[in-house]
Amino acid sequence: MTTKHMVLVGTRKGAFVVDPAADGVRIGGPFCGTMAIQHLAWDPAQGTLLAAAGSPWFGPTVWRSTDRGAIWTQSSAGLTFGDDQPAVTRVWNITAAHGALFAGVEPAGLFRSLDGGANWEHVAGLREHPTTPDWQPGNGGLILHSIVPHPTDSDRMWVGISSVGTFHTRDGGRTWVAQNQGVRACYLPDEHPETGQCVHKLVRHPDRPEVLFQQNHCGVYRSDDGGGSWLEITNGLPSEFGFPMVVHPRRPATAYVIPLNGSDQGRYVPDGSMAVWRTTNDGATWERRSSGLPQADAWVGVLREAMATDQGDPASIYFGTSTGQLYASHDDGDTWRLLASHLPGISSVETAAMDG
Amino acid sequence: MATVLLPRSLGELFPDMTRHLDLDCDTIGAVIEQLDQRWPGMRDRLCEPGPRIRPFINIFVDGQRAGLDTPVMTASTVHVIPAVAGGCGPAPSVAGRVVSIERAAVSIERAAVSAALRVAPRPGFR
Repeated sequence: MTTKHMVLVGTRKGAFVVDPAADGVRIGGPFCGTMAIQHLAWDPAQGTLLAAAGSPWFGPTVWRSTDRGAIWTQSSAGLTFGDDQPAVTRVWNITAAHGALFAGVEPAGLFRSLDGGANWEHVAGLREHPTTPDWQPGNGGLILHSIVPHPTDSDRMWVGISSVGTFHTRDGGRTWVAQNQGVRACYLPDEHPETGQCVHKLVRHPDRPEVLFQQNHCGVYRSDDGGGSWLEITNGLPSEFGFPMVVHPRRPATAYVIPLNGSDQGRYVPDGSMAVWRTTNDGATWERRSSGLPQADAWVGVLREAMATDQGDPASIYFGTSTGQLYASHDDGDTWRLLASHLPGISSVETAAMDG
Repeated sequence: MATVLLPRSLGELFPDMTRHLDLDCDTIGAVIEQLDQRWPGMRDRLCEPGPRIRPFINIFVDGQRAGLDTPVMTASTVHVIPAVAGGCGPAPSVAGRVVSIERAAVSIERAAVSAALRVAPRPGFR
């Protein structure tokens, strides 16, 4: 049996499953009732597609398909902080780990499902953190968008909340510690508060569990001690501002970002010239990779969830733009090709290894 | 039996939903419970915790805006109408809203449309 690496695309108007076959790209979708999808994910243990969604009319929900997209169901059972608390408006991220599913939502909160996403329970400890009354929404809202499980210790997890920062638990979510030491909050009078840092995307190194990276509103950072402290590694990039960040699945010290021109300058790729920036030394230096990408008049952005790698050998890298173009690289980011050009605005890109 | 009319957009989430059905219920809350029994999860699409009707969902009984406790009579007509919206960015002008809702009137009763025109809120897109 062969394994096919499919590209999962969440968009403003539904979910799509893209087969990037060399003999012709095939696009399945739109799925999920054309609802806005913040994140289309894959649970390899269950072989299930999961879509994090939210609608101004119909509220938050999680879509599921156990047959690769042919049939979808959706549920938000349990996605509530309680009758006297703010209503959950959208689901932003779905992450499978250690036999459970985790959902990050807006306003910022974490939920867990032990039955494949049919029912959810609130991981209440996070919103009991003493800084919670100070949490303020950013431009995208008060959202928990990054869920980073420890690969072997099911009691440990990191989460990222926009305009609030990074938190870590060592006791299965009962208590959490803010981990923002060394991360600038460049828009606040005090640039180094306990919380208030605007993490845009938090990721973990695949082989070194204590090595974390984050693309922040105010720079790119690496932590070598499980988030206890952060070292800024922005130097060499054209901008400190961007959203997505991914780590290569096998190459040590290799990671990718897509800088944008700035929070107040349109959030485009700089000068309308599209590029992915790669480090092969944990952020000590960066190199611009743009072959195959438009180098003029590309007034596009790339959102936080919209870049991913697959587990192939060699691994492929994918990203999608907020204006609906999907790109792929099969040589570690050296060259890029356009897979799809007319999708709705892309919110998320993930990959799934499916038995062919 | 009250007549219940459901919106097309709700059917996108429940593919086997029928848009027109007759239910024997005495309140809107009971209508929603019956809808949830037929199509599990529909209550969460129409209501948020409280419970209360979602901000951009409008429910009318015989043309009058209704809440969960509103009585439903045997001959009542219940409309479930999502707020009218479209496009991106700032909400369009009041004139734009009137045009949009008048177009929607093709498929729903005029009385309910008039009520929606007076009070329906509008979601925005980021």
